[in-house]
Amino acid sequence: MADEQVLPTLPKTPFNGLGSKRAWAQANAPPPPSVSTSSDPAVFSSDDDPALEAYENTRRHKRRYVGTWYDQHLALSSDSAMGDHSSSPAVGSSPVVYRPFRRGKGGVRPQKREFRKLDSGVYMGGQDSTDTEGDIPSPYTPKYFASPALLRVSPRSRPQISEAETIARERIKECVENGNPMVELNDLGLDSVSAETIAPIADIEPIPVVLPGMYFRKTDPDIQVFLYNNNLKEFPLSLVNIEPLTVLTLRNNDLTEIPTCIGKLRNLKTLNLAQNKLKYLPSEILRLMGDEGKLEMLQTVSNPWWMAEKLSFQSVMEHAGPNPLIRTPVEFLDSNGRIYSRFRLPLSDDDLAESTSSLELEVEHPSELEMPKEVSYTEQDAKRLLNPKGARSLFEYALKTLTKLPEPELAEVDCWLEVDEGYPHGLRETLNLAADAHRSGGLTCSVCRRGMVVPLTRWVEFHRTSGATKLDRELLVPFLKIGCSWRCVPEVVVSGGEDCLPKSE
Amino acid sequence: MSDSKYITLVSYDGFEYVVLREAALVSETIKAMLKGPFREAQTGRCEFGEIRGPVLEKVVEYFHYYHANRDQTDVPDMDIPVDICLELLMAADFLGLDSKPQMRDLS
Repeated sequence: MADEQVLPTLPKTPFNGLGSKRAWAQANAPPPPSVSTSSDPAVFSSDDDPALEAYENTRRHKRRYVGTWYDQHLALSSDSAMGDHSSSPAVGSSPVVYRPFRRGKGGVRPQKREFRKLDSGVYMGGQDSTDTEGDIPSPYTPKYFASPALLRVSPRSRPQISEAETIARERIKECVENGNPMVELNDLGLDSVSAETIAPIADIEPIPVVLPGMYFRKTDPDIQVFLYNNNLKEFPLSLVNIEPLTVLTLRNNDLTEIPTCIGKLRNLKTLNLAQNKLKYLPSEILRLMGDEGKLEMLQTVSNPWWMAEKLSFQSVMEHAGPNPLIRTPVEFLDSNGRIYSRFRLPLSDDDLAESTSSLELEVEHPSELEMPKEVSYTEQDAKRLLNPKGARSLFEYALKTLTKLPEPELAEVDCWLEVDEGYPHGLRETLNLAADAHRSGGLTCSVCRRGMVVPLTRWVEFHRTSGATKLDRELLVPFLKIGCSWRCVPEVVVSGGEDCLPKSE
Repeated sequence: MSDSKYITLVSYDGFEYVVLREAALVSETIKAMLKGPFREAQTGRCEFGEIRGPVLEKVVEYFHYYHANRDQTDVPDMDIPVDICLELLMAADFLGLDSKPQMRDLS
């Protein structure tokens, strides 16, 4: 062979390369003594010392390597110089390169497992019991739907931090340092706030006033966030993680929707949503105003709210007693998002994007409940649709699992659904809706409080907010309510609504 | 016409599952297969050319889960492994295991 390839230089003997006396001893010494070999086990002063258990373990951990031997040699010699417990990068991990995964909870790397390293001071034969097995980082493995077409989808690039947000960060930092619970982020021209910016607000702890002669008492933080006069288009979701938030002002922004997870802010007392582009509010805010929260002030003026239609509103006011529940008819859907009732809420993207003025919605008499006509059920469907607490359909269960995927995976699935024609019609839309709902805090049935993936009923209730003394059509605020089955509907005041459900066939 | 209490479901990679007929009738598709003048109705053996074994296994699990819980309330949700959930979604759609009422034909 004339052109023999040049081999990489051989390492010196692997034992020298390890560079530690212990490793040399390990390689040359006879196999480690098990408990029953010639010499007696060492006797200690106390036999119930828990440290003894560490010595009974005779199982040896072998190092595992992946890749070429000369690459290993480099990594290995540098590692062993630092000590046995340092992690060597190549150990145990497969040579596949995984995409970096940063966002969300899933991005947290597993903590290094703590190993007991007790030393009695008695040398027992150089067994290396603290091996590196626990240090193997378990890489995030995107197993599902690994198709070459999908691997081209790059994860969302890290958003650049705008100038306004930098100022916001500085102000928040200042507040954290001074223990100032009033976070003033107003008039900055912010159009979005990232979770990293918001998160430190939760760390604010007010500096307590200490007066002579008074007991020191730790006061609960009373955090107030002012975000008025900005250009926020989306509610900053991470705000809901600030549990002690009591005042939140979002006046004069461009919000179009309030997420359901706002229900987590149990300590909220004042919420200012005036001068936005809101059309309705989630029913969670109603709960905050009720027993579950402390919300007292809700400012809602100057939004293009949905309004009760004038004629039907007046007839309800005339015929339905002194303080009627003003609500729309109920919209009935299936798990694919198809609507079966005559009444439809203007909730599609086109509807929401289109009008900036108030839409008028029909009002139903509280003693009536219009059910979908021209629908026939099978027995199974009737059970699934009508039993609020019964078993769900397999479709829903699968959808639920799918929505819980971390975001990059979800983007891949979405892309997959877009490319491939073989999927049922509307699945992509359903999945996107469900994923959006999951991202903004999940959906809970307004009637039975069960969590759900897709709403099967929807309707709007109009309520008075603080300040209004009587039912004035102009001042009512719409709250969107959702139900998890076709029986999760508003309470019908006079006669039972269940009787008018169509019979199953 | 096979009158056995059980029917056999076969996945495309050859896994066979023997299921209580009554439980499997939750699926409208299987119901139709067993009713009509098809070979399936005679043999009580349904072959699915699109569904993989592990997916069909989960479907069968769902049949029994649903059969056991059909008239109960406060049913615990069924767990779906992530790696087959998209396939399962397709299978559920194919087998009619989504709550989808039929619009009555007006003609």
